[in-house]
Amino acid sequence: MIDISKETLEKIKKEGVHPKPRWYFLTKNYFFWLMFALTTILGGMAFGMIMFLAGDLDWDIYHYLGISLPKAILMSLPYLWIILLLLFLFITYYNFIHTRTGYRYRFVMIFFIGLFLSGLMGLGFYQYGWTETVDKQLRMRMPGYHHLVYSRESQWMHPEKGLLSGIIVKIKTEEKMIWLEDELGNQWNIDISQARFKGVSSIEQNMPIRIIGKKLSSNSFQAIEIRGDKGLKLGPGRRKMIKSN
Amino acid sequence: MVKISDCAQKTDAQLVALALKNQEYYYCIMKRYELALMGYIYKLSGMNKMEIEDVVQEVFILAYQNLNDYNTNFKFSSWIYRIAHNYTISVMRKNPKYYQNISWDEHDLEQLIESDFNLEENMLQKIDYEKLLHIIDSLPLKYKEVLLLKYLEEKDYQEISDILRKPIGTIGTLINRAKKILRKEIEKCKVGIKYD
Repeated sequence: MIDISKETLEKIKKEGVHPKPRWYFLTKNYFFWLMFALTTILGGMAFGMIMFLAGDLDWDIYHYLGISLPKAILMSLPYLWIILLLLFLFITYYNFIHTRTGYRYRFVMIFFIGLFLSGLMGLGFYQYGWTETVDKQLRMRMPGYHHLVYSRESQWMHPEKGLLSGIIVKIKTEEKMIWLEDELGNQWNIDISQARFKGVSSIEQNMPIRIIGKKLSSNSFQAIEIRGDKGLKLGPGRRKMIKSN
Repeated sequence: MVKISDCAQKTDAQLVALALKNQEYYYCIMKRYELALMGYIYKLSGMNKMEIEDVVQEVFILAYQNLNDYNTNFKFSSWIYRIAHNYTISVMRKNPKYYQNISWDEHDLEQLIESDFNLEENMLQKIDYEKLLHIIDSLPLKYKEVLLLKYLEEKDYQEISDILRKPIGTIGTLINRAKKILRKEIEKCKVGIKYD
């Protein structure tokens, strides 16, 4: 009978087979831990972006759009970032189970721990205002990004439904009129004679505002309520940014 | 060459440490697992003797190349079984004929049934083992491999988890499901029971 072990040892010697060095396996293991950490951070950023985008919306105006709250929620969810978060969580799971003992843990457990860690980091990124910075950079540098996320600006770009936002370009105090430039660059004459102010005590030139009112013609609007960009349902991330400016 | 008697008192972990310094000691490790791995590969794949010998040789070479990856916190047997399992499955995938029939004998099946199915003794003699083998054979590989490791290789849940790289909970679920299917087949249709 053949002695397989003996034959194998001879083959090992003959072919000069050697054990791979220990550092090779350690590096491989650390690589998966590093990737785990990296994807958790990216997941944290995605989580933070979800918080930022959801928190940045005005949730008290959906009825002006003639839709129900569930529909408003469905419309407003930042799907791009939710998909990215899920993707990062799956990659996190993949990396974790490839560490030395990662396979011992169940998918659900790893998934929820990943989600928890991403949530914690996301909260941190949101608190420090990093999510707003990322959002701003993406809007400036990534063409089409603004189509992928439902923003506060999109919410307020419905003049026919009584919602308008933009920057004040001119104020005529005696006439109680202001000129506003909306996101698309259109100029609007706004009658503010009957407007009440919410979250802002006065207005000034170059100030971003949001208006609830009534469209009178293609370029005129009657304001009922004027909201400033500060102090209104602002998440800590946005407040921090404004403070630093 | 190192003699087997030189290694008898040494643990697997000690032998691994020695083999990393002097490859002659690897012979002792191989000798210790040679028959067990051949039996396991045979039951898993139904390969013939020559094919099994080739697979075992490749498994030992692979294990030797990866010897530094062995973590002494784990059982060496689980580690080498894992390599054997993965390599055998990869060979089976390349050649689907190995999926056609498993190679468990009557003794294996008896062992499987006696260990966990609580059948009356007189029932055991009446089981049509050929039919039972057919039932087991028709199970997906994920069930067959856990049954094999649990009942024929007598590995505990932790070892099976380490060999198959699946969580213990999943191993328990797979074993329970496999047992349920088998029990159903044995008791329900009585196809496995020969009546006088």
